[in-house]
Amino acid sequence: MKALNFVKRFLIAALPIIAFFVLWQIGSSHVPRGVISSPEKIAKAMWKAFIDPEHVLLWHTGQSLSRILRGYLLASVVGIVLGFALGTYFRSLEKLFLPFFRVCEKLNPFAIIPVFMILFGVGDKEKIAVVFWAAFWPIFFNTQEGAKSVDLSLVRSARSMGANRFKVFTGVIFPYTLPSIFTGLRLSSRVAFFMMVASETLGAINGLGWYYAQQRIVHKLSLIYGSILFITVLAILVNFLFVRLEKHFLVWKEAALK
Amino acid sequence: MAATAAVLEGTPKIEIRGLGRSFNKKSNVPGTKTKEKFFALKDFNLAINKGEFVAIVGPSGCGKSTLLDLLVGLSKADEGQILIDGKAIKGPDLDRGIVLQGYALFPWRTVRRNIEFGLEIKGIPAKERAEISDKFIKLVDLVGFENHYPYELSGGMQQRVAIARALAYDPEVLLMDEPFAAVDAQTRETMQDELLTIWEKTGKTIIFVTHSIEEAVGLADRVAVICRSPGSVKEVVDVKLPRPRRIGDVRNTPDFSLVSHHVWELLQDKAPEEKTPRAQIDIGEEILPDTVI
Repeated sequence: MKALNFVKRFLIAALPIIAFFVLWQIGSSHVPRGVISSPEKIAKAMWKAFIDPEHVLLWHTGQSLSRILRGYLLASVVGIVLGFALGTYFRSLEKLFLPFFRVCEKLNPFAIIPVFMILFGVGDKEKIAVVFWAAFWPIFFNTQEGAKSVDLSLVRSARSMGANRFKVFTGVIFPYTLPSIFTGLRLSSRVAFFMMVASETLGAINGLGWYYAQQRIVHKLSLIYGSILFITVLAILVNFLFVRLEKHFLVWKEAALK
Repeated sequence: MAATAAVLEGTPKIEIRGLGRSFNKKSNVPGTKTKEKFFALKDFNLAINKGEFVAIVGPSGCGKSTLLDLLVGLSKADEGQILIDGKAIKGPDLDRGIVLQGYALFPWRTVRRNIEFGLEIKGIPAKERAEISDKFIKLVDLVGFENHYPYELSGGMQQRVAIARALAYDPEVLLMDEPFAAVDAQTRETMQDELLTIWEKTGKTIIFVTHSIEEAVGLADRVAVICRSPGSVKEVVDVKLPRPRRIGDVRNTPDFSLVSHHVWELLQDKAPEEKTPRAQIDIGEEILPDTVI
């Protein structure tokens, strides 16, 4: 019964997506050649790219993912540590730095890419910096606000049982903030993807964005559309991973919110 | 008073001596920046014997929360001191357990892990912790709910977890801050009787803060009536109702009415109310960010 329900829900959700591809397939033959490709052609072209013995697409994907991961991890560590610092024990610094950080957050990250290219030169360092810059803010602000809003009665409770500062942090503030951290991490993972593709499209020697830009230069329509879909699927997979992680770590929160 | 004198024979378990706690009051008048000292508690004296159940009642803003924070050790007194077994308290310790009004359970911990929190701080190994938590889960009648999260429990059950958590690390004194204020009337009466049973079984010394006269008289051996501005003990009323006691049994007795009426009278002729908005009298929250974290 439960499995049946799941299949039903899944089918309902998938319906618009299937309809979209069917309409696309039909519509593509009615549009002048060279504007859009058809799902059928895209599937064939992408399949060929995947089984390509030289693994060109996969290699570029690996390059991108590795850079995203490095920038993202760096942003996570720095963002979470700074977020906790300004959200808990260093509240006075919060007043000093937060307005400035808010301004930094508002800077258009795409506009910054060329600046980073000048500062770091086109390459890994620059890409990691771009991802770091974009991914840092959601993680930092969510951690900081989560830690700041900690339920003081829980802190009181822990303190009354003799918890020292360390135990108050690990036993109360950290678990209390965990849902906010997850929110930040998930938002940032999306942003990290966007920024990576954007920066690679603007200038790079390899990576998914570069691959995509190359297809545009040679006007290989099926691979242009294919790359877009592929990047989307990757982002969906990452999001799915986060949903699973949250379900695992935040059992108490998930259900409490219902 | 005769009752107080009798109590003072021998060493009391808890002795509150000339306790005073003041806060800076912000001026309400715009443009003025003068800081006044406001005494939430002043010249507060109370002695409590081992194994005694003492209720503290008073009007809102009489410094009950301030007193409790001092008893827990979360804030420091300006004057006087609190002695436990003749020794001044220096901060929070596991010789005192506290049950707060809003339960303050850790939502990410199951019933069992909530109860074990104090034991973890005490550094008790996992196996022993499980044995102790088992014992207290039985005591508060939550067998079968060990692995439930707080959100899955009713208000009354959550309060039982909070009591079990406070008892688990075996404190000699149990401090309770309006613990049953948030549950419905029927659950409250059940909880009150359960608390009496637990108290009879464990022999803890209990300080029970409440604003309900009925609750205070129904539960306690003695009721300390607090007057406000500044908060101090107005009178300690002896409750000579039979033990073991069930609130439902004593509530309609003449003795109960007499004592309740006396407490009520004491609460009526209160000191002239100071013209400070409640938010500033009830400073409990305001002082927290600095002192707690």
